[in-house]
Amino acid sequence: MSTRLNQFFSLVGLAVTELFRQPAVFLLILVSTAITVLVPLAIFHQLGQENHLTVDSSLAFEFVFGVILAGYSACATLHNECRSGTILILFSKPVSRLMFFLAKYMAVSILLGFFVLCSTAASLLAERLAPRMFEFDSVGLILLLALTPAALLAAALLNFLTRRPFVSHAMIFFALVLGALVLILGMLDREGHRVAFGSMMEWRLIRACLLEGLALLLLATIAISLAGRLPSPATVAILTAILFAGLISDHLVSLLPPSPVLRYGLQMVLPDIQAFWPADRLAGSGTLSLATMLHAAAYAATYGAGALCLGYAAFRNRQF
Amino acid sequence: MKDETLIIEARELTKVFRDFWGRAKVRAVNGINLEVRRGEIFGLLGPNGSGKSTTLKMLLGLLYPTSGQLTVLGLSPRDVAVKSRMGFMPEESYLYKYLTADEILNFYANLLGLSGQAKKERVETLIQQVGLTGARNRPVGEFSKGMARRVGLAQALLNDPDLILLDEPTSGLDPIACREVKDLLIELARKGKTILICSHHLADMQDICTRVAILLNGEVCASGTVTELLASPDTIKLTLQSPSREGLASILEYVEKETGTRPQVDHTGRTLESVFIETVSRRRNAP
Repeated sequence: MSTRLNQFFSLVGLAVTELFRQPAVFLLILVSTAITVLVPLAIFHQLGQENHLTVDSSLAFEFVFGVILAGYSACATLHNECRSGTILILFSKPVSRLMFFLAKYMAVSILLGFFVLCSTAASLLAERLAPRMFEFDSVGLILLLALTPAALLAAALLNFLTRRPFVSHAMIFFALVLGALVLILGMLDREGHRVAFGSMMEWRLIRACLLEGLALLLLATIAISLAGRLPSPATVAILTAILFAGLISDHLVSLLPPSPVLRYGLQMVLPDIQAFWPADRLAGSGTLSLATMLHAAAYAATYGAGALCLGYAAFRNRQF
Repeated sequence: MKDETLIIEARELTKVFRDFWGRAKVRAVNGINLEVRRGEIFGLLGPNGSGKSTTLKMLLGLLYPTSGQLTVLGLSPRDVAVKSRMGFMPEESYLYKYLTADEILNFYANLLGLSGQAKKERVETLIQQVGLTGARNRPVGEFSKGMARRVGLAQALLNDPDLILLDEPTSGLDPIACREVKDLLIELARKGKTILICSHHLADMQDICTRVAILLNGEVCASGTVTELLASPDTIKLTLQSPSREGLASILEYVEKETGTRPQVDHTGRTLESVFIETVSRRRNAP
């Protein structure tokens, strides 16, 4: 048992290392964070509903970039392993296909967990930094614009001095900077005066981002199932289609003839992404209850387990 | 005494690749029979597309036979348990380019269930054995083809396997490394390991294989021991050390009278390989 666990964690560790050293993954996380934080600064100060729009946009960006990241990373870790031939050596070792498949999903989940953490911090910062009545949060902006390049420089310096990989360290330093910014800005008001910690932050976003994270984990099960056969562009395209179809799944079901078989069939096949879309529930002073979160988690686990079973069934007899 | 234990047994092994609609596209392996015994170095020879790699992949359980029977170490190649007694080195160096040689070997050692001191010692021994001590901490993406092949060989030997499957093991290696690999394989076979090699390098195969099979269009055209296959029963070779001109002339005259044909006279030269190895070794060992 311990040998199998050791094998499993070795496979997960390698896949996570591989993903965290991919420049494309870092770029996706960096661009997603930058857009989430900077877009409200550029456009929403003229529309009069800054807070509402900022929350909506940051949650939407998390979904869109999360789907791209799930599709890309699933293919980078599974499809590329098949295509590059490294799987030939791997399967010449006593590694079962089920363990390999699950390890790949675990690695993608860890990466998505990291992405959700960054997105949560970015959403909190976006809401905090969004202009109010044409006034910018200059303290927050200065800190953000100073510390982000500092994180990248620190990773570059580490690479120069110790030859440690740049991308993975830049990603970790960047996440640390985001976390530090949330903590620092949580203690300051928009003029830079000390306030009670968190009084100026929209903490409801944490649950909202976690809820979306559950949807991303669900979509990752589909992504890894597709990645056993398809390359990145096809996987991301199908995943995006499923995301949008899932967001309007209720409407799609209502379009069907009133046959329970057809309706239940479509509900089983199409994930109900609407259950994970938190923006409507956060309108006004609404919150996400623990029951909502648990219900969504149970749905994601059930649907995800089914998708993984189908994915594994397609992968287990694949010949290389 | 010769060990007759069958390590690989294939009976009427066939592999047909099919297209999207399930129609037969290529019959890559067509009813071959193979028997490889413990301690043998068995060579699979053949031109490109003859079915060598397909056979090797079926032995690894990466491809499934369309028909026929195949057992490896007494089990189905698809059985995960059999993999812990096998080592495989593919034709291309399929390695994780961003990992160092050390990290790669440790990763595969974990998959093979090695841990602690045993893992450390095994990795250390193999790194030295394949001559990568100075480059162990460099990412393999920066390696030359020959160096990557050494990592490939090291990972194949990590678990001290009973059966070693090698696809073009000397491809990309310089003559000295090539000689070292061949010596290593002969030594492993002497220790009772069974080795199956696919290669185009006929001279290398002739050097080390005990038995070979020649594949063409997925079928075994010829098989047997190297000595049997190379033997030409009607011709013999006579080697003389510095004969005098007169002595040679009288020998040739005698042979011609006895056989009715004029014998062929060649100077036995050294091989380019032996000259290369000698020259480079002399230069390396120079103070």
